[in-house]
Amino acid sequence: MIEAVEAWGPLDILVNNAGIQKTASLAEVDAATWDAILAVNLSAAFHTMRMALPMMGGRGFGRVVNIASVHGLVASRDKGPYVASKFGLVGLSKVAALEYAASGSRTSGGVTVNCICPGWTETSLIEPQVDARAAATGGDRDAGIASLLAEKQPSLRMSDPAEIGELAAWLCARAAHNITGTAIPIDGDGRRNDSTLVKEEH
Amino acid sequence: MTNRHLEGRTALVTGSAQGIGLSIARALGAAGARVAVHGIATAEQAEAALSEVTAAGAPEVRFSTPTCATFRRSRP
Repeated sequence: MIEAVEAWGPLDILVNNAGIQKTASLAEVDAATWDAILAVNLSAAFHTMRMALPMMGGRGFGRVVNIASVHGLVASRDKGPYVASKFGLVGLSKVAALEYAASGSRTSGGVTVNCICPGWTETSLIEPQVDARAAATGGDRDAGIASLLAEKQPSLRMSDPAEIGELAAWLCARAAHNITGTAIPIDGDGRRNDSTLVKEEH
Repeated sequence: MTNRHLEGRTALVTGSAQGIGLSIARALGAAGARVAVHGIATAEQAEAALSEVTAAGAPEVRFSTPTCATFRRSRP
Protein backbone atom coordinates (compact mmCIF):
# COMPACT_ATOMS: atom_id res chain seq x y z
CA MET A 1 0.00 0.00 0.00
CA ILE A 2 2.74 2.46 1.00
CA GLU A 3 4.84 1.54 -2.02
CA ALA A 4 1.87 1.94 -4.36
CA VAL A 5 1.00 5.39 -3.04
CA GLU A 6 4.67 6.44 -3.06
CA ALA A 7 4.83 5.53 -6.74
CA TRP A 8 1.59 7.46 -7.38
CA GLY A 9 2.67 10.30 -5.11
CA PRO A 10 5.28 10.80 -3.67
CA LEU A 11 3.70 10.29 -0.26
CA ASP A 12 3.70 13.60 1.57
CA ILE A 13 0.87 13.06 4.04
CA LEU A 14 0.07 9.83 5.90
CA VAL A 15 -3.07 9.63 8.01
CA ASN A 16 -3.32 6.44 10.06
CA ASN A 17 -7.01 6.49 10.80
CA ALA A 18 -8.18 2.87 10.45
CA GLY A 19 -9.40 1.62 13.80
CA ILE A 20 -11.73 -0.96 15.32
CA GLN A 21 -13.42 -1.31 18.69
CA LYS A 22 -14.94 -4.15 20.64
CA THR A 23 -15.80 -3.56 24.26
CA ALA A 24 -15.55 -6.27 26.92
CA SER A 25 -14.15 -6.54 30.42
CA LEU A 26 -10.72 -8.05 30.95
CA ALA A 27 -12.41 -11.13 32.35
CA GLU A 28 -14.53 -11.55 29.21
CA VAL A 29 -12.31 -10.40 26.35
CA ASP A 30 -10.56 -13.09 24.29
CA ALA A 31 -7.13 -13.28 22.74
CA ALA A 32 -8.48 -12.95 19.19
CA THR A 33 -10.05 -9.58 20.03
CA TRP A 34 -6.80 -8.38 21.60
CA ASP A 35 -4.80 -9.45 18.55
CA ALA A 36 -7.21 -7.87 16.08
CA ILE A 37 -7.48 -4.52 17.86
CA LEU A 38 -3.73 -4.23 18.37
CA ALA A 39 -3.09 -5.19 14.76
CA VAL A 40 -5.42 -2.62 13.19
CA ASN A 41 -5.13 0.21 15.71
CA LEU A 42 -1.40 0.07 16.47
CA SER A 43 0.67 -2.36 14.39
CA ALA A 44 -0.68 -1.08 11.09
CA ALA A 45 0.44 2.45 11.98
CA PHE A 46 3.85 1.14 13.00
CA HIS A 47 4.28 -0.48 9.60
CA THR A 48 3.08 2.49 7.54
CA MET A 49 5.23 4.93 9.51
CA ARG A 50 8.43 2.91 9.37
CA MET A 51 8.03 2.65 5.59
CA ALA A 52 6.90 6.22 4.87
CA LEU A 53 8.97 8.30 7.29
CA PRO A 54 12.44 7.59 5.82
CA MET A 55 11.18 8.73 2.41
CA MET A 56 9.58 11.84 3.91
CA GLY A 57 12.81 12.56 5.79
CA GLY A 58 14.80 12.22 2.60
CA ARG A 59 12.59 14.81 0.90
CA GLY A 60 12.55 17.15 3.89
CA PHE A 61 8.74 17.27 3.99
CA GLY A 62 6.21 14.98 5.61
CA ARG A 63 3.08 15.05 7.71
CA VAL A 64 1.93 12.05 9.69
CA VAL A 65 -1.42 12.44 11.45
CA ASN A 66 -2.45 9.48 13.59
CA ILE A 67 -6.03 9.26 14.73
CA ALA A 68 -5.75 7.99 18.28
CA SER A 69 -8.56 8.71 20.77
CA VAL A 70 -9.26 10.38 24.08
CA HIS A 71 -8.68 6.77 25.11
CA GLY A 72 -5.05 7.23 24.19
CA LEU A 73 -4.84 9.65 27.12
CA VAL A 74 -7.21 8.20 29.73
CA ALA A 75 -8.96 4.90 30.44
CA SER A 76 -12.51 3.62 30.62
CA ARG A 77 -13.83 0.26 31.77
CA ASP A 78 -14.29 -2.56 29.24
CA LYS A 79 -11.81 -1.05 26.75
CA GLY A 80 -8.58 -2.85 27.61
CA PRO A 81 -7.31 -3.67 24.12
CA TYR A 82 -8.57 -0.39 22.63
CA VAL A 83 -6.98 1.80 25.33
CA ALA A 84 -3.74 -0.18 25.12
CA SER A 85 -3.64 0.30 21.34
CA LYS A 86 -4.39 4.03 21.53
CA PHE A 87 -1.89 4.74 24.35
CA GLY A 88 0.60 2.78 22.27
CA LEU A 89 -0.18 4.85 19.18
CA VAL A 90 0.34 8.10 21.10
CA GLY A 91 3.66 6.86 22.45
CA LEU A 92 4.89 5.52 19.13
CA SER A 93 3.95 8.79 17.45
CA LYS A 94 6.05 10.74 19.99
CA VAL A 95 9.05 8.52 19.18
CA ALA A 96 8.56 9.06 15.45
CA ALA A 97 8.22 12.80 15.98
CA LEU A 98 11.54 12.93 17.84
CA GLU A 99 13.38 10.86 15.25
CA TYR A 100 12.25 13.13 12.39
CA ALA A 101 12.00 16.47 14.17
CA ALA A 102 15.16 17.86 12.56
CA SER A 103 14.44 16.57 9.05
CA GLY A 104 14.37 19.09 6.25
CA SER A 105 14.38 22.81 6.75
CA ARG A 106 12.02 25.70 7.20
CA THR A 107 11.97 25.98 3.41
CA SER A 108 11.19 22.35 2.75
CA GLY A 109 8.63 22.29 5.57
CA GLY A 110 9.96 19.61 7.90
CA VAL A 111 8.49 16.28 8.97
CA THR A 112 5.94 16.25 11.79
CA VAL A 113 4.07 13.43 13.53
CA ASN A 114 0.99 14.24 15.59
CA CYS A 115 -2.00 12.44 17.08
CA ILE A 116 -5.56 13.65 17.12
CA CYS A 117 -7.51 12.25 20.09
CA PRO A 118 -11.24 12.39 19.39
CA GLY A 119 -13.85 11.76 22.06
CA TRP A 120 -17.43 10.89 21.13
CA THR A 121 -17.78 11.48 17.40
CA GLU A 122 -20.75 10.73 15.16
CA THR A 123 -19.56 7.64 13.27
CA SER A 124 -20.65 4.03 12.97
CA LEU A 125 -17.81 2.84 15.22
CA ILE A 126 -19.69 3.98 18.34
CA GLU A 127 -23.09 2.52 17.37
CA PRO A 128 -22.72 -0.71 19.40
CA GLN A 129 -21.96 1.36 22.49
CA VAL A 130 -24.89 3.71 21.81
CA ASP A 131 -27.21 0.73 21.38
CA ALA A 132 -25.92 -0.91 24.57
CA ARG A 133 -26.38 2.26 26.61
CA ALA A 134 -29.85 2.90 25.16
CA ALA A 135 -30.85 -0.66 26.10
CA ALA A 136 -29.33 -0.37 29.57
CA THR A 137 -31.15 2.89 30.30
CA GLY A 138 -34.38 1.75 28.70
CA GLY A 139 -34.31 4.75 26.41
CA ASP A 140 -33.99 5.54 22.72
CA ARG A 141 -30.84 6.29 20.73
CA ASP A 142 -30.81 9.95 21.78
CA ALA A 143 -30.98 8.90 25.41
CA GLY A 144 -28.10 6.49 24.87
CA ILE A 145 -25.98 9.22 23.30
CA ALA A 146 -26.85 11.70 26.06
CA SER A 147 -25.82 9.15 28.68
CA LEU A 148 -22.46 8.52 27.01
CA LEU A 149 -21.81 12.27 26.68
CA ALA A 150 -22.74 12.93 30.30
CA GLU A 151 -20.14 10.38 31.37
CA LYS A 152 -17.13 11.55 29.40
CA GLN A 153 -17.74 14.66 27.26
CA PRO A 154 -18.43 17.73 29.41
CA SER A 155 -19.37 19.83 26.39
CA LEU A 156 -22.36 17.43 26.03
CA ARG A 157 -21.96 17.80 22.26
CA MET A 158 -20.97 15.07 19.82
CA SER A 159 -18.19 15.91 17.42
CA ASP A 160 -18.81 15.90 13.68
CA PRO A 161 -16.18 13.92 11.74
CA ALA A 162 -15.67 16.97 9.50
CA GLU A 163 -14.25 18.79 12.54
CA ILE A 164 -11.53 16.16 12.90
CA GLY A 165 -10.90 16.55 9.17
CA GLU A 166 -10.30 20.29 9.53
CA LEU A 167 -7.71 19.82 12.27
CA ALA A 168 -5.96 17.12 10.24
CA ALA A 169 -5.72 19.42 7.22
CA TRP A 170 -4.43 22.27 9.38
CA LEU A 171 -1.68 20.05 10.88
CA CYS A 172 -0.50 19.35 7.32
CA ALA A 173 0.08 23.03 6.59
CA ARG A 174 3.57 24.48 6.28
CA ALA A 175 2.70 26.81 9.17
CA ALA A 176 2.45 23.76 11.44
CA HIS A 177 6.10 22.76 10.94
CA ASN A 178 6.91 23.16 14.64
CA ILE A 179 3.84 21.30 15.88
CA THR A 180 5.05 17.75 16.38
CA GLY A 181 4.90 15.01 18.96
CA THR A 182 1.52 16.25 20.17
CA ALA A 183 -1.69 14.43 21.09
CA ILE A 184 -4.50 16.92 20.49
CA PRO A 185 -7.84 16.08 22.11
CA ILE A 186 -11.15 16.83 20.40
CA ASP A 187 -13.15 15.66 23.37
CA GLY A 188 -15.11 18.56 24.84
CA ASP A 189 -12.70 18.43 27.82
CA GLY A 190 -13.33 14.75 28.46
CA ARG A 191 -9.86 13.63 29.48
CA ARG A 192 -10.74 11.96 32.74
CA ASN A 193 -10.71 8.35 33.84
CA ASP A 194 -14.10 6.70 34.36
CA SER A 195 -16.27 8.89 36.52
CA THR A 196 -19.72 10.34 36.47
CA LEU A 197 -19.13 13.95 35.50
CA VAL A 198 -22.76 14.96 35.49
CA LYS A 199 -24.96 13.81 38.32
CA GLU A 200 -28.37 12.40 37.49
CA GLU A 201 -30.13 15.40 38.98
CA HIS A 202 -28.18 17.88 36.80
CA MET B 1 -13.39 26.44 0.69
CA THR B 2 -10.76 28.29 -1.32
CA ASN B 3 -7.66 27.77 0.85
CA ARG B 4 -5.79 25.28 -1.35
CA HIS B 5 -2.70 25.11 0.84
CA LEU B 6 -2.06 21.43 0.07
CA GLU B 7 -1.94 21.75 -3.72
CA GLY B 8 0.80 19.56 -5.13
CA ARG B 9 0.74 17.22 -2.11
CA THR B 10 -0.24 13.55 -2.08
CA ALA B 11 -1.97 12.02 0.92
CA LEU B 12 -2.89 8.50 2.04
CA VAL B 13 -5.72 8.09 4.56
CA THR B 14 -6.30 4.61 5.94
CA GLY B 15 -9.78 3.51 6.92
CA SER B 16 -11.27 6.29 4.80
CA ALA B 17 -14.24 4.59 3.16
CA GLN B 18 -16.45 6.08 5.90
CA GLY B 19 -16.50 7.99 9.18
CA ILE B 20 -13.60 10.11 10.39
CA GLY B 21 -11.28 8.80 7.68
CA LEU B 22 -13.60 9.84 4.85
CA SER B 23 -14.04 13.27 6.44
CA ILE B 24 -10.27 13.67 6.64
CA ALA B 25 -9.91 12.61 3.00
CA ARG B 26 -12.50 15.23 2.03
CA ALA B 27 -10.75 17.94 4.06
CA LEU B 28 -7.39 17.17 2.48
CA GLY B 29 -8.99 17.12 -0.97
CA ALA B 30 -10.65 20.46 -0.28
CA ALA B 31 -7.20 21.84 0.50
CA GLY B 32 -5.97 20.64 -2.91
CA ALA B 33 -4.22 17.37 -2.12
CA ARG B 34 -4.33 14.26 -4.28
CA VAL B 35 -5.85 11.65 -1.99
CA ALA B 36 -5.38 7.90 -1.78
CA VAL B 37 -8.42 6.51 0.02
CA HIS B 38 -7.99 3.07 1.55
CA GLY B 39 -10.30 0.77 3.44
CA ILE B 40 -12.67 -2.14 3.53
CA ALA B 41 -15.46 -1.34 1.07
CA THR B 42 -17.60 -2.73 -1.70
CA ALA B 43 -17.18 -1.37 -5.21
CA GLU B 44 -20.27 0.80 -4.62
CA GLN B 45 -18.88 2.20 -1.38
CA ALA B 46 -15.54 2.86 -3.08
CA GLU B 47 -17.26 4.75 -5.90
CA ALA B 48 -19.21 6.80 -3.36
CA ALA B 49 -16.04 7.68 -1.46
CA LEU B 50 -14.26 8.62 -4.69
CA SER B 51 -17.16 10.88 -5.66
CA GLU B 52 -17.25 12.59 -2.27
CA VAL B 53 -13.53 13.28 -2.12
CA THR B 54 -13.49 14.51 -5.72
CA ALA B 55 -16.52 16.73 -5.08
CA ALA B 56 -14.73 18.16 -2.04
CA GLY B 57 -11.98 19.38 -4.36
CA ALA B 58 -9.29 16.72 -4.72
CA PRO B 59 -7.64 16.99 -8.15
CA GLU B 60 -7.13 13.23 -8.22
CA VAL B 61 -8.17 10.32 -6.04
CA ARG B 62 -7.53 6.60 -5.93
CA PHE B 63 -9.15 3.94 -3.79
CA SER B 64 -7.56 0.69 -2.65
CA THR B 65 -8.77 -2.02 -0.32
CA PRO B 66 -6.84 -4.45 1.86
CA THR B 67 -7.59 -7.08 -0.80
CA CYS B 68 -5.68 -4.85 -3.21
CA ALA B 69 -8.52 -3.89 -5.55
CA THR B 70 -7.87 -0.38 -6.87
CA PHE B 71 -10.23 2.23 -8.29
CA ARG B 72 -9.18 5.57 -9.69
CA ARG B 73 -10.69 8.89 -10.73
CA SER B 74 -9.26 12.18 -11.89
CA ARG B 75 -10.83 15.55 -12.39
CA PRO B 76 -11.49 16.12 -16.13
